[in-house]
Amino acid sequence: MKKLLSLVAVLGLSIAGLTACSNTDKAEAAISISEPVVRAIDDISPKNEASGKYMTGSFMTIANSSDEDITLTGGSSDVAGVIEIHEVIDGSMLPMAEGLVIPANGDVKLRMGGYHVMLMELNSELKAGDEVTVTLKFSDGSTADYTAPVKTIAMDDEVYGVEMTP
Amino acid sequence: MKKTSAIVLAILVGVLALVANQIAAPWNNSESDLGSRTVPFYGAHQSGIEMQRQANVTLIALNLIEGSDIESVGRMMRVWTSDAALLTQGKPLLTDSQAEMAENPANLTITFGFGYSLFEKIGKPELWPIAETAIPAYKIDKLEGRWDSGDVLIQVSGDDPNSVFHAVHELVRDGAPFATLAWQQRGFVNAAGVNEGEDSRNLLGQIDGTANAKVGTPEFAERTWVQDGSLANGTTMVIRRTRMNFGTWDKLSTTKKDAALGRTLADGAPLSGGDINTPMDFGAQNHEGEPAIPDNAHAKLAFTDNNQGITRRGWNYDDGYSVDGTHDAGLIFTAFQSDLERYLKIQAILAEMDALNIWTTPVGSALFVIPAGVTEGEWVGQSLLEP
Repeated sequence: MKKLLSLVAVLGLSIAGLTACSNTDKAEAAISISEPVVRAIDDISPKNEASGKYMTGSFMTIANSSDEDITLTGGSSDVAGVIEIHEVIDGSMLPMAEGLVIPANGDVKLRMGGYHVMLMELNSELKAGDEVTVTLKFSDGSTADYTAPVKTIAMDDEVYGVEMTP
Repeated sequence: MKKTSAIVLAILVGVLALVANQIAAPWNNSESDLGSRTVPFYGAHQSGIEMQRQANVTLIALNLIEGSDIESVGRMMRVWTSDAALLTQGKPLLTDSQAEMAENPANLTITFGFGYSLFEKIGKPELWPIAETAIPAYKIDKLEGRWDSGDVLIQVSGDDPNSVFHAVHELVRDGAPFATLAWQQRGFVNAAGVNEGEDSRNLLGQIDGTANAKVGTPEFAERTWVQDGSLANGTTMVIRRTRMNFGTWDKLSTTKKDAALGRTLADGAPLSGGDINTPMDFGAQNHEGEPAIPDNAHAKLAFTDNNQGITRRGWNYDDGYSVDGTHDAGLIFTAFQSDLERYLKIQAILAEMDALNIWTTPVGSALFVIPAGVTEGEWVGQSLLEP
């Protein structure tokens, strides 16, 4: 298994190298998004009290195959009025004003309890099995689309900074 | 200096002892890449049927929660299809609760089916694709009501029990917004690499699956896959849990055991002579002038010709010993057929006359349809529910 993984890693790097050299529109090809998912709305999903609309997280792995860092700055979607990039620090969810840096020739895993794309001001209560399309925006002016299944995700309340009530 | 030498010597002796121990180890199971092997998920047919049985299976049946409709079933199958496409390829789900357990799929396959009750519950009985809605009751049946129906069937098979456990766990969890577990059955055959290319034995010691069509042949396709209609490229699946009565079987002579099956326990050859691949000769007589293959022998009664065959994929089960000392073990008989009529014809005859009925008791009986396979972007069952 380890052997296979390192082979995959070597292949991945060489493909990334080729893409960076041959592609003139480097930004379009540089970013790739794998296995995205959106968390279904449930009874611990936070709401914007003012608008009464739900918000939820989207998780994925974002890879950057270029030789320069690229920053994820925001996004848009038909299902959400606002999209922000967030991280969880000490149990509190905070917007990342500077965006999220995807390092050159590296990737960042957006996971429960860590970095996530926050879909806010939702137009509907997303249910398990729905599909959501999101366009992410990056510092170099490029965009990347993904379509993610909505799934129920069991998680600690800490992801939204909500105190657990015993 | 002396002290250092002594330590070096001690280390050397230790290393040598370790090496010697390795060489002398009386087992060797280290040469396999089995853990990383995968079976393609996408294709014309669902995987997990037209292939040699993996070592382990877990069959689970789930019932839709109240208030389900065709739209929620579609969302459920979208979630499960995307889960299965990842897990069978050794990729953890992003939401995986134990991601590392997904890394050794070992030929994991995940196959989905629907029961008639699903179509009833969502108010679409007209979409059920075949005439029969259940397996009829047979006089040999002693059904316990625990394994007889279900809205959705998931067959999870693989050569590694950890990987099978993990897939079942993730699927049930992701299915929780839609359906709850009705029953599960766990079975096994030979481990991968044991008895390669031959059929595994059932727990009565008989070679099981003889006369199945070979995987990849037109005969297999003809027996198994539905040709047209909304179930095209799908099939029908019968699951009969059959408890074996070992008490009397264990006392039986080999000759009588052979006679009950119509084939030898030793190598599966018909009692009319030849080897396991020799066609049965029902006219052949033994030295007493009796039919060599008795009229009530299982293999004779189950024999079909003129393209009436089915595909049997049985799994042994072992639920351990009961307090009274009886062994609760047997066969999870599963059969796939392009036309359910074929199975029903065979089973009706077996139920009346089969010599093996003395030692086998059906305790569960269920029918599902298995929709066609999918390509990326589709969900399993779409062909039935969005015809």
